[in-house]
Amino acid sequence: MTTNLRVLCLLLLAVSGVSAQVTHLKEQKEESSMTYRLVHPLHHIESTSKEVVYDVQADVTKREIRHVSAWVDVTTFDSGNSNRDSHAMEVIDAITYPDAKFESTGVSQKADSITVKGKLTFHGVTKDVVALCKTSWSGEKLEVDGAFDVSLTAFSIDRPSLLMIPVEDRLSFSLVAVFFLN
Amino acid sequence: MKTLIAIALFTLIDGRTLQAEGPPCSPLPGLENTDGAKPSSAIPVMAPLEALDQEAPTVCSNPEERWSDAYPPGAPEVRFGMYTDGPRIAAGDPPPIFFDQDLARLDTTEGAPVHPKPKLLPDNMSLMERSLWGEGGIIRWIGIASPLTPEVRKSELSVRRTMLSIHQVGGFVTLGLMITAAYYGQKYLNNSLSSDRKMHQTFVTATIASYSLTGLLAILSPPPMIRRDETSTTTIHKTLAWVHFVGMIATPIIGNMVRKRSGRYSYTDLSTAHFHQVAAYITTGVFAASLIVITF
Repeated sequence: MTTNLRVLCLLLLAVSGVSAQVTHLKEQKEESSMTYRLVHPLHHIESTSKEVVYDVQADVTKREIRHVSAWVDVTTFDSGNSNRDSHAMEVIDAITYPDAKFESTGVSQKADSITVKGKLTFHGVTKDVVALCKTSWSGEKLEVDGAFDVSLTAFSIDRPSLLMIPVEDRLSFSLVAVFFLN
Repeated sequence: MKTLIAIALFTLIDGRTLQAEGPPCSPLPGLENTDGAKPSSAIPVMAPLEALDQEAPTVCSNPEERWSDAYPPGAPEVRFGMYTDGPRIAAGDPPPIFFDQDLARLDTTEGAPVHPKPKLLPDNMSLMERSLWGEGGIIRWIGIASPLTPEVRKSELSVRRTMLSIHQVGGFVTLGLMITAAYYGQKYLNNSLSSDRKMHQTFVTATIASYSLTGLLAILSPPPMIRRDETSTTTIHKTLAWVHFVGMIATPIIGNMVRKRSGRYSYTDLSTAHFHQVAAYITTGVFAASLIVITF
């Protein structure tokens, strides 16, 4: 009886240690967004989507992010010029590939800076990307600001052009994700 | 005691509460299997379209387990093969898949929402675009374009891209011709040389032809993927287009009235010529502005 009780207590302690504090955090949609930037000799294009779905698993007590994923409908990006956005959607074949997804494979944290490595699926192509982010933990919220660059040609995207001049190959993303901690 | 330990471990580690087993979920009408199990992943016998608008009957013990994991609670309803602007099923196409066990393969991100496919036609189409390129548009009706499907729409967008690229080049060519026509017109007003008048008329004819072709490429092009109700450089470009279009109609009409006859002789009516000159310069200026606003 005593031995059985000891075994039960040990098992309960072990399980409680394993299933500790990792929780899914709920994003605050109104304050979260993702922006891409594209450079052409004649224009600097900036387009933002406020319809990004971020999913973060974090240990709130230790203030550590364990896993990150994101999903966005590519048709929700708005540069203020729907003609230009429409051209962008033609170029990335939004009819066939209507969304872009990111899934982290590793998160390393140093103070408030985190490096998120993961796989980005965009235009039907999956590539490894590394995002550099800064976290800001307050009593109620976690705010994550990050950025990463991708190559259009690496994702099999023909660079759009204006007056026969194509845009730069680099597509820069910046993200803002705000989560409730309660 | 051992039983208690086993139950405690199962509860804590597995994380589920024990539930009573119930009968298997009833599939959609038309998808029944003889053994009552969930529908297979093969292309099924299709449910009638009306079934989509009705609450599917179920005898599941847990209604939340009626659908595959690709439809988490709260996800928007997905109707594969259904397009809000197109025919529900195009003639000759295989029936769309309304329910597929393999839908989870489309979702590689755990918890990511599954969203409807983009609309094939934009919301704010102009009357011209709707008449020409809508689902029942003239271009589809006479057979130049096929019935609306994603593949057809992709090729139309490619055609649009080509037409607008030529439109860009045509705009600059037209501006060049317009400026040259204005140059020879001004020379003729200054010197009254018949050679200048002939050059002016030649370049005016070329300008009208180039302008017409450039404008038609834009007007007749397929609609874009999206069009929002907004004010942008494109809006300004289109507004200025109306102004220089009126100028391109009025300027040649006034120009035709410049030469007057008096008996056997013809002469230039200078007051009419000045009206023509002002109209031409305004038209050229507005045309140049519409180019600049969209290019830079």
